[in-house]
Amino acid sequence: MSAKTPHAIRRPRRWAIAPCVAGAFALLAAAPALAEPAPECVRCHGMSTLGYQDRASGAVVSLHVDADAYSTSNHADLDCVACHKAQYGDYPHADAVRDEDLHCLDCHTDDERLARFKLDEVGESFARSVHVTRHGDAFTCFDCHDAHAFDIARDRDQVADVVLDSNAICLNCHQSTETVGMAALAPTALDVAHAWLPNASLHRRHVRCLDCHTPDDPAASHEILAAEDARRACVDCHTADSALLTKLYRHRVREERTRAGFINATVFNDAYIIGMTRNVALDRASVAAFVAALTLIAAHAAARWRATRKAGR
Amino acid sequence: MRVRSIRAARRALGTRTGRIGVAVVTAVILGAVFYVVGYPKLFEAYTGVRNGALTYASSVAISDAEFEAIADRLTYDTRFVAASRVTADEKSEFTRKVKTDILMKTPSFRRDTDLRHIEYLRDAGVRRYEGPATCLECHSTMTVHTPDGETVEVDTLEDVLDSVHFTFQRTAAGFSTYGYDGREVNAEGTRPIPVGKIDRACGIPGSFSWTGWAELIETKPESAHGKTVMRSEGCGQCHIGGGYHPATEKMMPFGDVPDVAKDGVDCLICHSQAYDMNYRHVIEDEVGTRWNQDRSMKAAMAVTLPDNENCLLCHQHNMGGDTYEHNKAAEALGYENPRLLHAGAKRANPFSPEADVHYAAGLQCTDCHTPVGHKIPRGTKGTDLVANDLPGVEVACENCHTTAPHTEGTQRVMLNGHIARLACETCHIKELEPLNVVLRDWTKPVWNAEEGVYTPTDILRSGEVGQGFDFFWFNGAGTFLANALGTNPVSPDGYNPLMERLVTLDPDAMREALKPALEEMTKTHEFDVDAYIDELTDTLSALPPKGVEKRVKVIEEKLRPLMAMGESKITPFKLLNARMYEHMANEGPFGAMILPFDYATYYETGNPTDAVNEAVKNPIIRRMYEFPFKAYMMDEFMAYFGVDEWKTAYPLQGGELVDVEPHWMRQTATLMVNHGIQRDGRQCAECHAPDGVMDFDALGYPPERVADLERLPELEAMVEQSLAHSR
Amino acid sequence: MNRRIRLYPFWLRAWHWSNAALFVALIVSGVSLHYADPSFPWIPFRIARSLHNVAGIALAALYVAFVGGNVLRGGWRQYAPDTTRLLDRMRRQGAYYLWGVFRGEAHPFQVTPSRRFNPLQQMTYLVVMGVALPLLIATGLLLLFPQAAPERVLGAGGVWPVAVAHSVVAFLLTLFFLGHVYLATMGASILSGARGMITGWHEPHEGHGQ
Repeated sequence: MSAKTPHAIRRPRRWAIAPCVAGAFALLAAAPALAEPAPECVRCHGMSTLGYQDRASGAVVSLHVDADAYSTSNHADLDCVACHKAQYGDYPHADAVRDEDLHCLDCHTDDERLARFKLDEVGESFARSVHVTRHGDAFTCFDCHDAHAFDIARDRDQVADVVLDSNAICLNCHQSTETVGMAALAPTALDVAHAWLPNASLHRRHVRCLDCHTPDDPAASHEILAAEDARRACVDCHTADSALLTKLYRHRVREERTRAGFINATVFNDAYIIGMTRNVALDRASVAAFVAALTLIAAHAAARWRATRKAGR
Repeated sequence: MRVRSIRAARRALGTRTGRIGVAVVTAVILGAVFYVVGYPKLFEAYTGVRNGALTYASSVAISDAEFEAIADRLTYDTRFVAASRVTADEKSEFTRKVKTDILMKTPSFRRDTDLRHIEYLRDAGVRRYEGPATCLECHSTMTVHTPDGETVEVDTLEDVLDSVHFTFQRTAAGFSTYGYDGREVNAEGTRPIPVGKIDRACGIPGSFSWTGWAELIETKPESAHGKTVMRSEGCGQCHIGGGYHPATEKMMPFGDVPDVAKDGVDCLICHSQAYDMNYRHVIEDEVGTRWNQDRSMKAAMAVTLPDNENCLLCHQHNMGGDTYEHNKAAEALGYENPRLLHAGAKRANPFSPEADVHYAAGLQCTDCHTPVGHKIPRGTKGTDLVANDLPGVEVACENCHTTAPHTEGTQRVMLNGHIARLACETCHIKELEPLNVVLRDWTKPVWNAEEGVYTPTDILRSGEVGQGFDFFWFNGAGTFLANALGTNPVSPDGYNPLMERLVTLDPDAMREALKPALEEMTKTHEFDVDAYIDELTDTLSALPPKGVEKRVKVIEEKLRPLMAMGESKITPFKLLNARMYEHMANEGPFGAMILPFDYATYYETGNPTDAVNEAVKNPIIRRMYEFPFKAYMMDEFMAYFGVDEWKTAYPLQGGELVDVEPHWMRQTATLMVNHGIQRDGRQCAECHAPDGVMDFDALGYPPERVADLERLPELEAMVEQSLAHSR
Repeated sequence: MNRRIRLYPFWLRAWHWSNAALFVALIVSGVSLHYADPSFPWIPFRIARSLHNVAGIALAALYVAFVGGNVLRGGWRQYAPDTTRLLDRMRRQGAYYLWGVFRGEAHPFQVTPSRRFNPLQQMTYLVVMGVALPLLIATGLLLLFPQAAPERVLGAGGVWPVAVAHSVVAFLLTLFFLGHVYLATMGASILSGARGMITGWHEPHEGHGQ
């Protein structure tokens, strides 16, 4: 492992990905205790601008740990040194600590409590993701997920917030001109790549990148698809049986489907999706009125026809 | 046909609407005629300002032969200066000369260097420079790229006349200043008033520039052996309008600068590479006194975009100071009536290759202060209530530097970490010029034998941290009298500079520091030194007990929320207090209305009250104490000042000053310093030590945190490590 | 011989048929979008969307032209209801449609160049052209530029009520469309209404116009 990449300091091996998420889930069972990371670490790592400009990539690498976010994260009751075990007694810390290899699996192997999250699937689907197939080992789960703030339990009332959070992770790299290697997807390039998509910015605000860039299979939640493999058929989502129901709205469908009148009531509060949002009552009423109108016309026409025939005679 | 229309008109007049229409049209025509012809006269009569045709002796026609001779000289000089800059690092003088010669003959170098206006003016047959009229022949409009990415075509002259460089005030929002009543100056919910320069180092705060615009002072310098020498003085020396008064029309609710005054705009002081500051002196004609300009053909032929030297012709005055050793303008004081130099510096943070790393690196002022047409941004932060052409435009270190600007050394990560709490200037301005005025007493002038005038006494000048400047929390905003607003994010309640650091000084330390100045003053003035020290070191003692009570209330209710706004960082501020004459009828918990001095009286007689008396007689000061001005702006102005309303009691009664007292400002002013940036910043231990330069206690940290910050265990470990390495 | 009346100027006929064509296109593409279903691809979603957008904008432009034309050429007077015994006249017209026509009664309304519409027709057109179509166009434009729609309405997404209004009004107008086409066959002959709209000449009912 090279010490040059910006994320070297907190970089796990690829096979260790699933357990890193697992670590977060593990804590869900117990009520998360509010804790703060060790004060001696926060003295420096609490500085929001602690960081450096990486010599190889030119990117600014932050070494800041947000103590507030940490204290509500799934790792909250872990001490810093529970994961970071290298020699941190020197100030500034020796360069060697950057090569510290963090393995989520070290803490969470065969954890029964995490079985329901199917972390093996997460790991496998991640291995198939374009991030890994293109960048190999250089891409780790920490490139998207911040172990110091990870909070799986965080509830989001608004779908818009879920979208914002999720897309922020993607745009962090895909819209940053600072990130080397992503230059091809710099802002304008991102827009160019989505030029085919009508109302691209509207889509970006209301659906997750993942909704098009992962396969339908729920087990493949971490298999990020490249542009050429991603969903392009409008009607996949713009239909009554929208793909979004198994993706973005998955958790809301169950609870809200029972609500009156509306199919896809799940989005009733948040967005109108052409082809997907339908009002059953309205739809039925319109068909009924249409049929009634045609019948009336037919009857009238028939009566007229008979009347003219009679008159003709 | 004619008959018909007359008949129609008659019919129309017969109707009521027709009559009203005719009346309205007549009123509009009469109004327009009055506005053009009558109003300017009325305006001059009311304000006492005068306008007249502006002529300049330096504007003379030259022959073709003279043109070519000047062109040759200018071209040679320009090439030589530019080539020398390139070859400056050459060690051998001979080689340097040879290289310079070669370069000066190199076609591509000439193409990039030569003054293009020589050719333009030659071809256009221009042989006399007549001010804006000449420039506007080609530049009547200009293309401007706005910060929003739009491209617009503007009228060049109007663009200049609307800029702060001409008006030096604005009647619009866009100040980072808040009144003591908690309102943002001129923001929504206020009645916008013209404001622009409240600068208390000066005895003539901005709004009084009428009383000291272009003054001739009779001086008696030692070197003249009893003869008098006329010198020039006044605010007009640095303003591009060449009229007999500041652009008074621009601060009124309507009316515009008359065309004769527009002719006075000095294009070349910013745009010429050969502007001769020796032309900048006061001249007197039948209308009054005003500032002369360089309108020579030579200066016109050297027109380019402004560079640092152009800006610094005026702006080194407020940054390095008039007497700063590298102030170029101070080397050319005037062919006649040479300008008087101000001895103490306003900010004392020079922008020069010697003092500023950015200048040395070849940066231009306009690289950071990127102009939009003739509008130039100051940045979004500031305490000093100086008008800003482009209020929303950021001028900041981060515009160029990343959020991790330290790229070298083992401590770079830690240094970058400090940016969350410290402004860059905190470490990178380690000292100001020693000329920095900290305490100026206008009320006790002393004789300056060399210049032959009485000058105010700078009882303390210092460029040292803790004396001349100090650190405060700053969120980018300031109060109406220039106090940095901000709060300690760790313990907001522990930080209250307006009741602590800015109102008290250590009497013993002051007695020691002021010893030489006090000795000098006691030669001219009789006064009780102990009482003087007491008054200076406890400025709130000038307030009645009720006043202090109100002050505490205002700070807690109005200013606390402003201090808590945004993100505060520890930022260095130049400190300033001045003892001036105040009109006590308009006193509030943060001070009373300051009165101006008449320069000539002050310098010549050394009698400060006579000087105040004279200045207050100025018609426009008299107008200030009348109802229209009260309603138009003074009530609002005083509300910002923390005073309920403007009392129109005129301070001069029967020729005597009434209710006028000398006082120090109730609180020290804190003025931003952003230039004079030094490459090597402070080291850890300069602040993180028990006797470090940063007073953590005064910054409002709780005691245990202060102890911690003064003795950082990490720092001790670092020192040990480095010792171990060196062993 | 019945005297034919010159009833429809050229611009009006051009507007009518363009409008009709666009209306059909909008109904077809709109229905296709609303009931989009990958297993029953009537018109591909992307094509339907483009068609709907283009036709919608064109319809809006035509509407503006129509209003302008009517204001300039005085056509608006056709829409100004004559309130004298309006209800009674409307009732008589309705009665004719419902049974008079079957008994071979005379048409109760005499078309003249200054009064083209029978009272029922006039009220319907007034609602269609004055209320429904502007509403349809306004909601349609909001859906085309959803960023202009209110962010939230009564706690729900702002686009949602706009979309529902759009589809409801569109459906009502489709019903009107059906009725309009059918009633056009009730002229002197089945096709005389359509012919009149093509040639500009109105063929009066038999037994009238003498």
